[in-house]
Amino acid sequence: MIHLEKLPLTQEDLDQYRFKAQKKSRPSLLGGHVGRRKGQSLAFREYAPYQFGDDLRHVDWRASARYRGSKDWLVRRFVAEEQFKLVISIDTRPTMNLPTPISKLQVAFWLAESLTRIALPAENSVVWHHLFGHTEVQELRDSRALKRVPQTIHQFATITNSDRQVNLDSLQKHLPPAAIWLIITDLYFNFDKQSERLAQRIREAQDGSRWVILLELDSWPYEKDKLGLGPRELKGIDFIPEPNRLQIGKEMIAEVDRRIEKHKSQFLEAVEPAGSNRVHWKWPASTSYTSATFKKQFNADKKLQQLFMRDK
Amino acid sequence: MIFVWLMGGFIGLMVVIHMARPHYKEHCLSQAQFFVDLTTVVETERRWRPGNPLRSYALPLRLLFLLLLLVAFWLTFAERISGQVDMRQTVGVWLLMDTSASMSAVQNGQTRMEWGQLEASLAIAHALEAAEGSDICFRLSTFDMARRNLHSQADPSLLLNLLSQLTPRPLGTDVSLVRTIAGELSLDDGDMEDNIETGCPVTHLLVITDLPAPDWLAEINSVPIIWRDIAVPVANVGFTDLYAIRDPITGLVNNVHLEVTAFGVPPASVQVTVEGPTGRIIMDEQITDWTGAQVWRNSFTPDEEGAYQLRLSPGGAYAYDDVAEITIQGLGQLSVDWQLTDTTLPNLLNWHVVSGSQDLRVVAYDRPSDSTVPTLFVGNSYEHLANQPKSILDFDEGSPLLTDVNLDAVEQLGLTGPELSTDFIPVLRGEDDSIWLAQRRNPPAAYVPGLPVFRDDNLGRFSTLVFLNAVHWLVQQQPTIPLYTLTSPDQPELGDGRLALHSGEGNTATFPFSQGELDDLQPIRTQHEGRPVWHMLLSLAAAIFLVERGLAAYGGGRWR
Repeated sequence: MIHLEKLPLTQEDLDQYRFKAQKKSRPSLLGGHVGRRKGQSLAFREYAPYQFGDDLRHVDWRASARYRGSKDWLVRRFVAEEQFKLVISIDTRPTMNLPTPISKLQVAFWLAESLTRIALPAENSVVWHHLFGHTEVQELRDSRALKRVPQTIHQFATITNSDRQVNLDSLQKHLPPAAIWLIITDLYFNFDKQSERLAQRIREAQDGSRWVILLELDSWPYEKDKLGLGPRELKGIDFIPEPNRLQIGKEMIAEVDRRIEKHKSQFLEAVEPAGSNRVHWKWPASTSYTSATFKKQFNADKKLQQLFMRDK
Repeated sequence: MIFVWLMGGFIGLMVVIHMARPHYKEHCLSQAQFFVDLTTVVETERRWRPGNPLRSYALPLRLLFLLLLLVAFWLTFAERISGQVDMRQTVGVWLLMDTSASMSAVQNGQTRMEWGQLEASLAIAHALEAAEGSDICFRLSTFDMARRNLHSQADPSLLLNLLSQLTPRPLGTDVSLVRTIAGELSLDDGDMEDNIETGCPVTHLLVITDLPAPDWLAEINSVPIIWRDIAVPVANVGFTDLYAIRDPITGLVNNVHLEVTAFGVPPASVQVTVEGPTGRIIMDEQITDWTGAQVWRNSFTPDEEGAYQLRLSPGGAYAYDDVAEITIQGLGQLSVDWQLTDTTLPNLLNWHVVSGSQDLRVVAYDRPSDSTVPTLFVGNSYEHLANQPKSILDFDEGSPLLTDVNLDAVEQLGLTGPELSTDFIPVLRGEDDSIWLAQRRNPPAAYVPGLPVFRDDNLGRFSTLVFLNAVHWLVQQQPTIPLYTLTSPDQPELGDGRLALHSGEGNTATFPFSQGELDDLQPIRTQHEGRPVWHMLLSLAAAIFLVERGLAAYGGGRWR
């Protein structure tokens, strides 16, 4: 069971975020994503001259009267609501439990909860999914499911695993065309047959008109700064390198920099072109990650805002 | 001093080692996998850093471990050295002086206590002479029926002073006390602790008494025991036994028996005088014939209650058995308020029938029962026996009325029983709920089915037995007062009915038998050593070592 801090954003903050995003148009549908129009919302957008086929119930007679003759009826147009399914895959392997005090997993949960709380009031559905392991997904369908969010997070947080098996079987039916697949990970999983399967699935999703966003949580700048130089005894959550007592020097740090980049690039190259939809969240190097850091990063992220923008 | 330097050197070395070794700070990284096999770039620099020892949690443990090891090593060495040094010549005399009543016997013009004090002063002088240049110390205890420790570490002058104040007490002698002390000395731990506490290690046990050395001395091998019997056989005549001959039913004193014993050569004539409470001479006998075991026995019949003075003249060397004062209470016949028409029984038992007697009242069962005088209610059941046996319903097993009663035989009698008042507790009941025997505690009363029938059958034996049981219980409600009591460690003073007729104290004619001589009080090499502690330190060091290793294995880098 992971101990989770309370989401630093309120529902009001998130509603504001959605309204602001909805005022903007999505610049382009990257990754072949197609928004699906379905019905109309109650949000008034503009008046327009009546055209054959318009719903007579939407004619604003008073406004038409003011608008001169009876031939020019005015009908109310509403903001079209684009409803989508957001699939959030969270990497819950042990490395996500670091660093302290705010772990990558904590940020992943904050992020997932924020997006869920933005998506659900707009009648979108959200799916929570463990990227690794064998667990079933948790699906929240519409605004009524908003109150089930804490329970869903709690159930989801009880499961962390070091299982290297990519959890793709349970995901199949939850990735219809036009779905958005957000993968939150630190990319520290091994590049092997399992991760190759994941890369292949990402590519297939992309080809099937799903929008895949790879959100990388990168705490290395912060952990590197905290590690410093000198004699150190290294440990991971469930992993101890051999040898684990090292004299950390600049050369060694440079070598590790290189190893990390190489490790990530192996996977990112395998998932191209989804790699272009990569969102890179870095931990600040010299200060601890806090809830304020999260708020700032979340509000500043243009890519995530696009999820809730209108299509042109 | 060399050990201090050695210890400091080792500790300093350990601190230097901790200064030289790098302190590996523990760090948990999510990128730990990327540090695998980075040995090629491990920097092996070693720097002198004063902070390193402070950061190492293990250093204090290691220093403590080292310190304990060094101290334990030093102690083993020091204890060995100190043991050799303390192997010194010592005379530690534990003097046990007999203060029993027989030490008051006079021999050669002085009491045995005075002879004992003289022997003790001689012993002290011998010990002082023998311990020239050695340590010497004295402990003083006395024994009679109890042991008294007077001083645990007395110098000779104090010891002589204490000895001079000793006087015999009118008590017997418990020689087992000496054996107990000897036994204590054979228990090494207890002895050593005792010795350490008192500061006087006992090398010799000197017993000064008028009793011959017992056989069990040979079994004691803890310390040499010098047993000095200062007795000289002297003749003595004394009372050795005084007891009352009492009525078996009532417990009242009928006669007083005297026993006078002569120890050694008896005098030609000894006068025995018994003086009654009013000063009347009840017995005045001359003992001239000491045939047999030199024991003279006689008795007298007291005619009134009170204190009787018994005297022997001449009494011999031991004075405590020459005179005795005894107290007689409860005397003569039983007076009975016999309210039955048949007076055969009281005449037969020589009871004094007095109307209104407070000793015992015998009445028919249907008479009022409210008197406070012990009352025996007599029924008439023996005249109305059933023709067939009756089983017993229940009985009070602890009742004195059933003493020696054969219940199987009772069932054959076919007894019947009357109605009794409710304050009676049934003692024996028949199957038809008829009460055969009953008693009442307060005021004391008993019910029996009838008077003894004087027949040689079950009914005769039962009727006599339960009648006498009932009378015995009723008249024994008052405790029997003994003629005298013996002195005891709690009440060693004579008077108030206490005598000093302790067994063997008057036998002053035995030949002395000592074991050991005062010349045996020679210095003995003793080893003064406390309880060794080095092994405890070693155990502690081992425990710390285990803890340190455990923490090094599982406690993380700060413990390495």
